[in-house]
Amino acid sequence: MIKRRFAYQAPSTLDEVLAALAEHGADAEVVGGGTWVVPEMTHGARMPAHVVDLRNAGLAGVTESNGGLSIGAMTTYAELANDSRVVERAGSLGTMAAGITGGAQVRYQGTVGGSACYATPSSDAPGALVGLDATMNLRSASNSRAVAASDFFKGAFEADLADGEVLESITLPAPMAGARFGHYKLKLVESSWPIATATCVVGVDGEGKITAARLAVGGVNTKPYVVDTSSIVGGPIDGGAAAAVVEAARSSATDPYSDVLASGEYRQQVSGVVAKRALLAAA
Amino acid sequence: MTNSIRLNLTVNGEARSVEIDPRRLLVEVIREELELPGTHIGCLTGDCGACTVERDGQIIKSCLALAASAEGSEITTIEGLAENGELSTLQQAFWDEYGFQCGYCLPGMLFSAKDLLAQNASPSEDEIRHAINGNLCRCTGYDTIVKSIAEAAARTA
Repeated sequence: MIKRRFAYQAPSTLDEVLAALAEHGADAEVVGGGTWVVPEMTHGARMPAHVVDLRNAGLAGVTESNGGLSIGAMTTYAELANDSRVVERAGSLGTMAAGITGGAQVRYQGTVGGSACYATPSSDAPGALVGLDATMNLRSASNSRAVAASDFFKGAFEADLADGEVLESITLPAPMAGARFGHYKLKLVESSWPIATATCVVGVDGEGKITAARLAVGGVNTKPYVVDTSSIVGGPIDGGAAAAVVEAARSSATDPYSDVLASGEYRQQVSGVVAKRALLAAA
Repeated sequence: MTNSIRLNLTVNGEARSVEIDPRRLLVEVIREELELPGTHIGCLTGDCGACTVERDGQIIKSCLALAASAEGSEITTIEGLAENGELSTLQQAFWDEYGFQCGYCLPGMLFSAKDLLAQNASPSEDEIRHAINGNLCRCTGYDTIVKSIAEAAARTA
């Protein structure tokens, strides 16, 4: 049983969630899918006086939005992996969701929004969201704001999310013309957290030439970073493009993250090949 | 401060209502309040899968859920898998193929296998291994578990 006593509520509207968070501020913990915050409470790493459960607040589900997608904060990995619109317009997010560690159970329970809010450097979601140029839509009782995913992740375990604020949804832009998606995750054993991830979206024309590209690496630095892909535009997705991406990904790995699974130096070393494999997965 | 709450569930087809402390995990309520100890507690971090149950038709790790969050839901535990007092086809296949030794991981393995077979009636060995990647076993080396699931699929075909 969780040691510290708390008051539990599961409001049935977002407005009531926001009112509760406005009242309790830093004493409140938001529970989404629970896969991160519940064990943290079990082990005493988080000891809130108030728990606000989002399960009744209507924040789940994927809807179409300006040619792209809007993903409710409570949408589970399983819902993303099984949604044909996600596969079509944000394929790398579907691949990411299907590959979440922890089994089908965690994919039915965990949410991409919750994972983003905890900003664990080596988790799957941050890099995937930055790679897709996602926008995080935040709400509080007095304000609403939209933050680019690349600004939302501020550092290890640090997101641009104030006390009293909650993530309502994540918006993904319409994909570029001829978009192809690639996602690659490096982990050392089946049950491990990711060591490094890379996500790319590449626009390819009728002749197989790259018209635009965006590639982000997660898990390497304390926050995801976008790799400079300008040199591969105009050419095909081939060995030359892959070599260029290896160099660009490594040279931006300037603030590497270390934990018990891998040193920062190791992460820096593998960043290039992880980026390359994501690019080739889009070929 | 007393802030216990009432929790209403359907458990293995039966309506149940219990008074709980909101600090209780779902797995603790299943074992201690509902007195269904077949669901096991392993790691309490979501790694081992021994606490797997079905909630509204989807398998979950019940150590990662506050019991309060399950209000109104339909829960199936390992005690609900047998059919009319007989082992289910899946359970019988685990029995026949030595799909368990100490039995600690067994409830979770059965639920992951059930989830797989509901979506894929004739899975390959790779698909079976992928389907149990949220469940740890420290006895069998997994081979007999994989065989048991393949056998259950063959018997259901």
